Amino acid sequence: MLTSKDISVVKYLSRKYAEDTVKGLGILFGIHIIGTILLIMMSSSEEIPSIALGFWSNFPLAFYLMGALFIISATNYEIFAFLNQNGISRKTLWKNKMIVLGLGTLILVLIGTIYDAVVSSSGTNDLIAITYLKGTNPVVKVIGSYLFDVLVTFMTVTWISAIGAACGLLPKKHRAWIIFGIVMAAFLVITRIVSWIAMLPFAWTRVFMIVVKYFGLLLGISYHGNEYSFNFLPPILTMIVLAILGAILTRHLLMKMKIRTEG
Amino acid sequence: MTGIKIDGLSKKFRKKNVLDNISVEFKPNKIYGLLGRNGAGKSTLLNIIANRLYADQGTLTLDDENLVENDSTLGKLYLMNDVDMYNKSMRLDKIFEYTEQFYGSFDYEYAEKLAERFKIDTHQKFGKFSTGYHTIAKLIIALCVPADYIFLDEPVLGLDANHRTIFYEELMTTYSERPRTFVVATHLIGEITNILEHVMIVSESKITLDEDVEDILAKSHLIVGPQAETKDYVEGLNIVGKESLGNLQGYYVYGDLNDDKILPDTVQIERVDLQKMFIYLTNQGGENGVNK
Amino acid sequence: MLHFNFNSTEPIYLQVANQLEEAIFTKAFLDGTQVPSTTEISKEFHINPATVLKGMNILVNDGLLEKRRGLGMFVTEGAYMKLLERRKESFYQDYIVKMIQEAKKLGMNEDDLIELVKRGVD
Repeated sequence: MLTSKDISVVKYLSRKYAEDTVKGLGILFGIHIIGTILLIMMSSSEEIPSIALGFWSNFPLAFYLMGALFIISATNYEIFAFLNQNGISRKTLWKNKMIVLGLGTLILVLIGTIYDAVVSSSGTNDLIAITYLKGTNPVVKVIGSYLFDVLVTFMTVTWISAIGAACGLLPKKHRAWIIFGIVMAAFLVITRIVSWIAMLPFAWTRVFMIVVKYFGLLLGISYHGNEYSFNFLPPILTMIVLAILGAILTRHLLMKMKIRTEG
Repeated sequence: MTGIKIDGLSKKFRKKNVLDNISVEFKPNKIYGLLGRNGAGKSTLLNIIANRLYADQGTLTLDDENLVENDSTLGKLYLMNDVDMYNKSMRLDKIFEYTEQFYGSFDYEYAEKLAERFKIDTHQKFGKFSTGYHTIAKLIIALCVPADYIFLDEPVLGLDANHRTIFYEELMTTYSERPRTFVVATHLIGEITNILEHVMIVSESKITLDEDVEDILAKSHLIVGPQAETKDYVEGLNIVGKESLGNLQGYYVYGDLNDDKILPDTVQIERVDLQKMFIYLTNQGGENGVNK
Repeated sequence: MLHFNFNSTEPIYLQVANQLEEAIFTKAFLDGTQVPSTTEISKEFHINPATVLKGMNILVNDGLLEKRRGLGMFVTEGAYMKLLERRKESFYQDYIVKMIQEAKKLGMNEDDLIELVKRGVD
C-alpha cells in the first residue's frame, strides 16, 4: 500500500538514480570512445576494421550497469538528508529504496541481457541455461535465465546496500581508513585463495565438488553416479531468503542514520 | 491541534550531557524564542525534533501523535539551520517543486514575491549560492512551506542589515496572513525581542526559563541605589546581574520582590530593558535555574 | 506616517494602546478614519501582530476604535470628544483636586484661588 508520500519518494529516487547512472555511464562511454580512438591510432591498418567492428561488443554495458546499480545502492547520506529535510522518515526511505532498486534491477538486467544477446553472438550461451535449465524449451531458458540474474543481482544489491549503510555509520574521521582497510584485506584474502586454488591440480573441479558437498542443498545441485543434477527451485528460494535478509539488515542500519552536524 | 510536546528529553554526546531532562511545549500559532548561548543545546533540541538525531531518552509528540519516524507528523514541521540538506546540483525552483510534492503544497506566489524582494535567482543551483544567499534560499522555503511548526535556527546569521529587515517584515506579514508556530533559535536577541510571544532559555543542557514575554517583563526589576542599602534590600532575591552606575550599584533581579522588606528612600525599583534582561538570563547557569 | 517609538521596558501592547490613543488625541487619526492594520504596524516596527492586536483591543474596549468587518480598524465617531472629556476629568482629578487641597492647607478661599489662576493665565 503506497501513500502519496511513498510515490513522491519513488519518483525522486528513480529520477536521482537514473540521472546518476546516466552520468556514470556517459563518463565510461566517453572513456571507451577515447580508448578506442587511441587504440586505432596505435594499430596497423589491418587491425583497424576489427577494432571498429568490436566497438560495441567491447563495451561491457551489462557489467557497467551492474556497477552503477551497486554504487547507487551503497550510497545513502545525500538522499537521507534531502528526504529528512522534506519530512520523510528513514523507514519510508528504506521501503521505497528497496522498491526502486528492485525495479531498477529488473530494468537494468533486462537491458544488459538484451545488449549482450544483440551485441555478442555468444549472448545466449548462458551458464544457467546449460545447467539448471537444461532440457527446457528456449523461452523457458531465456525467462529462467533472466529471473536468475535478477535475483542474484538484487540479492547482491541488498547486501551492498547494507554494507553501504554500515559504512555510513562509521565516524567520519576513520571512515576512509576503515573502508580502505577492509577493501585491502578482502583483496589480499581473495587473491590468496584464488592463487592457492590455481595451484592445485584439477583445482576448479575440486572447488566445485566442495561447494556441492556443503552447499548442494541450498544450490539445488546434487551428485549421483558420476553426474550432476540441477534443481532450479532451491537456489531461487535461497536467493530470495538472502535478499530479504539483506533488506532487513539494511533497514536496521538505515534506522541508525543521523545528520552530520558541525559540533 | 494540541502542539508539540517534549517530555523528559535527554541527549549525551561523548558522555557529556547536552540536553538534560528537557520538557517543553510549542503551542499552535505562536512565535517562540529559543534563546541561549552558543553550544547551550538549542540546535541539538531542534535537530532531535526534526528527526535528524535521536534522543537518548524522552518522548516527543505532535498533536498527540508520535513525532519520531512518523511521516505524518514530520510533514507538519520544517527545520531550517546552517546545515545544507538539499542536493547541491539541484536548482532552487526544482527544490520548490519537490517541497510541494512532499509537503502537499507550496506557496509559489509568495516564493516568487520573496525571491524578487531578496533579489535571488531561483534558476540557480543550490550549491552555487553565496553564504548569505544560501540562507535566504532556505528562508524562502521555510516561509512558503505549508507546515504548522517552523523551526528557524539562527535564521539571520550571515545576512546584511537590509536583508535582515526584509526577513523580519516578511515574517510578520506571513504570520499575520497565515498564523502558524514559529520557533526562532538564536543567540542574537536584540532585533527580535518584540516579535516573540514566549521565550525559552536553554542554559547548560537545561531549560532555565519558559515564560510569556509579558510575564518576563513583569518579573524583571532593576534595583538601584547606594551600595550598602541596595545590597541589603536585594538580599535573598534572585539576582541575575550587577552593574555599577557611578557610585550607585544596580542589581538585576528576576522574580518576585520581597514585599515585607522596607524599600529605603535611596533605593529605586526600575523597569528593565528586555534585551538586557535576556542577556543576563541566558548567562545564568543550569544549576540554579531562573524561575522563582 | 506613524511615529511610534517603542522601548523595551514596558509591555508592548500597552505602548501600542497608548500611542494609538495619543495619535487620536492629537488628531493624527480623525474620527471615522481608518488606522493602520495590525499587519502594517507589525511589519513596520517588527512587533508581533498578536501583541499589536492586543493593544488595539484595549482601545476597542474603551470605545475609541471599532472593527469594521472586511475593512479594518477605524476610529469611532466621537472618539476624540470622548478622549477629551476623559483627559479633562483626569486633569480635574490630578491637578484641580490636588490644587484645591493644597490651597485649603494654605488657608486660601475660592476668590484667592481664582485670583491666582487669572494671574497665571495672563
